[in-house]
Amino acid sequence: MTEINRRSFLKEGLKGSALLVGTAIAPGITLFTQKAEARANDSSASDKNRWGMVIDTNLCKEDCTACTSACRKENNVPLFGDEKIDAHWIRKATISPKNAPEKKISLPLLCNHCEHPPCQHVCPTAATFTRKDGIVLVDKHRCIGCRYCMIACPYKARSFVFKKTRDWTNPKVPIRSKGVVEKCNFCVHLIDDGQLPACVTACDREGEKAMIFGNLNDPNSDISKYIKEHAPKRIREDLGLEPKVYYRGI
Amino acid sequence: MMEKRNLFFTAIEGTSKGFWMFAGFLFLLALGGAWASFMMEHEGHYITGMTNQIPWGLPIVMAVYFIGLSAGSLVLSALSSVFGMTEFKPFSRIAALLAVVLIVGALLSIILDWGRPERLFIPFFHFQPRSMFSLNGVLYSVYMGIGIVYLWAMFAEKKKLEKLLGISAVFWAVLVHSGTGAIFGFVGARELYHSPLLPPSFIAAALSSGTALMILVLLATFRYSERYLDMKIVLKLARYLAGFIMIVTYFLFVENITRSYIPKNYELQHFLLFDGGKISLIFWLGMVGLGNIFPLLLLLSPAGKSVKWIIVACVMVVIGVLAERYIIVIPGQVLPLELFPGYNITSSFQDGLLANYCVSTAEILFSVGIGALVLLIYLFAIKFFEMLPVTKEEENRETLPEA
Amino acid sequence: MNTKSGSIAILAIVLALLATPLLYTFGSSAFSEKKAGPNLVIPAEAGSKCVEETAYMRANHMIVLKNSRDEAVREGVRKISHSLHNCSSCHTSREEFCDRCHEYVGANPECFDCHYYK
Repeated sequence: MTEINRRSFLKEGLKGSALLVGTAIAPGITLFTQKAEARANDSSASDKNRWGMVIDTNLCKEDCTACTSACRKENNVPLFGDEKIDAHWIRKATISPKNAPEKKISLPLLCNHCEHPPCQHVCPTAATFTRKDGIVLVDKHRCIGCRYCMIACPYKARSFVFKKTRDWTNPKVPIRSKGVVEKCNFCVHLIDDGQLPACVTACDREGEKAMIFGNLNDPNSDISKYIKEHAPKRIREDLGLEPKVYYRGI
Repeated sequence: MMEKRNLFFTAIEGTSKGFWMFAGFLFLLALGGAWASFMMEHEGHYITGMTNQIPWGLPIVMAVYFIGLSAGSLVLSALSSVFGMTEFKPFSRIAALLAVVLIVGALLSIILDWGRPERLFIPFFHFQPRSMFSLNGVLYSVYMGIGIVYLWAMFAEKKKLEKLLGISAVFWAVLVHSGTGAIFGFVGARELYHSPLLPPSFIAAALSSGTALMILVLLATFRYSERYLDMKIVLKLARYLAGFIMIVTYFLFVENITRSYIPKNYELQHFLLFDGGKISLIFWLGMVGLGNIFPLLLLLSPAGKSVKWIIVACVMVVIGVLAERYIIVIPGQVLPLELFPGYNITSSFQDGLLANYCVSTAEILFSVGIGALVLLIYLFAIKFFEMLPVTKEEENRETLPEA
Repeated sequence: MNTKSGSIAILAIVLALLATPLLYTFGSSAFSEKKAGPNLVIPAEAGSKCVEETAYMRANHMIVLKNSRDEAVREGVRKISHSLHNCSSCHTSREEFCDRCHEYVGANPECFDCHYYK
């Protein structure tokens, strides 16, 4: 499949068209076929799906911020211009081995959607919960703002809303009122609509095509095949949290 | 030793100019706290020193501190009714009262520090047995209930109930403090939090700070209400205090030596003990010095027999344990999370950088305000309820503390 | 001041503080002027019907919205017909439809703090 086809396919996909169902080959794109079968608007998320992500750090470029800016735009993630209180759902980091400082690896860091999420374990109201399809979400209607989850998360994936935010970059997604905790939700509204998370779409279109998103439960999905073939690692596997975001090349 | 039969309790008059001035002063401080809390709620938490790196600041430090003081007081109060130490009877009521008002202070600190305090009742409808906060909600509320019923039993002179409640109060205070320690001890992500020693060392520090505060409150209350206090009580409490401090010191030593022994923690311990700037200063001067070594030396030396020096030691412990709570809560957040061991990391979200926590004015007003409110409730409780023993006027006044 | 009068004074202050919401309401213009109910602008298209009976929605729209909210957030059931977004497809003006009545009854829903309503 050529680039042009892929792009036009994604565009069609964004319009919610089911015309191209079943034609996908490229990474992540089979999502559409699965979604089209699995979900109608009034059915609940299904445990047949286990959404996960693979990031190929060999492809990720240090100066590219396609994923982070797409996330901010899609999810109204606020920037206050004060680095102490700015919220980050996904952030670009550069790591280099301590014994080889000139070797630089660029990668995005986001919520890892752990199988055993410590943030959910410590939450006193079950505001943080795991949906049936494995996405760890914050119910901001229920969050009391105790910030215990921020203490418990080993990935620093969570931000607190320190201040009122008052503008929508995307009116389809709510902004946050102050005093609750927010984090990456794998663009759950897009997934439910049969689309890919905004960062993956952006990485495919403007970035380096370093992100693959799909169903970990399906052995035939691209992501499962990719994991089987390349054995990507996860961050801090020693903690035993079983994250669902994989990194190749770390 | 005072005869049990001769012990009657009464309220203070609370009509003097000094009383009302002190109450007014506390009320002003509490108003300041209310204002700070309103601002935190209304403006958002950006007015505090907290950041996304340091989500827990001074209010949580104060909450943990208040809980410790409360548990310590309740255990002391139970000494007379449970272990039959009748010489401690004179202060059993105010100790139980202190325990109740301090837990109120602790709960206020926690709840008003939430981003959405108006959602107070949500945790009650969604009990989460795995969350230490949710469990502690139950532990603290039951603890407060036990404290109140225990107080009532003392007032109603129901000896059997009093003993029963005293036992359960001690048991529950241990649970409460283990639970509070577990808030931090169960966090696997942060090396400085994750320690099975935290619950027991929390209890030890609770006993030492609780005893120190009890001695101070006891002396102040009896002196300013012009009551006779048998100094033997104070000396005995001071001996207990010395014992409790030794246990705290032991736990601190074990915890830090264990961490320092392991090579992967070299950097971390070096930061905590030497390179941390104000954190290292608070560690050595505040926690180790004021909380442990200085008061222990004072109490064990001949000076430990004089009330004046006991007061000095108690003030040190009360401040030192606050420093200890600070060292438990803050450094674990200041140190960056180790996302990629063996790698250096830079990002737009301050990964790999030491965070800096500067307490803001709002937080100080908030914490001081809650402390003042606690004292204010105590003050009016001893004014309206029969909390203090009646001592005969003719008994010798010269044994009153000079300080 | 003796203890008794002191206690009465404190009691009076506490009661006054507790009564502030009532005093505020009695003092407000809405209470004294006995205004008629707000004039809501309801879509006039012939044959247009709400997703539920009008009377039911009037009384229970908050419950409907809350249920669909919880289902959407926690289960992933996106029942578009019962969403806030769908309200706005007919009741296009928030000021004239939602706010007028909310203001009149003194309700202060938090929905619009975060959710966009055109």
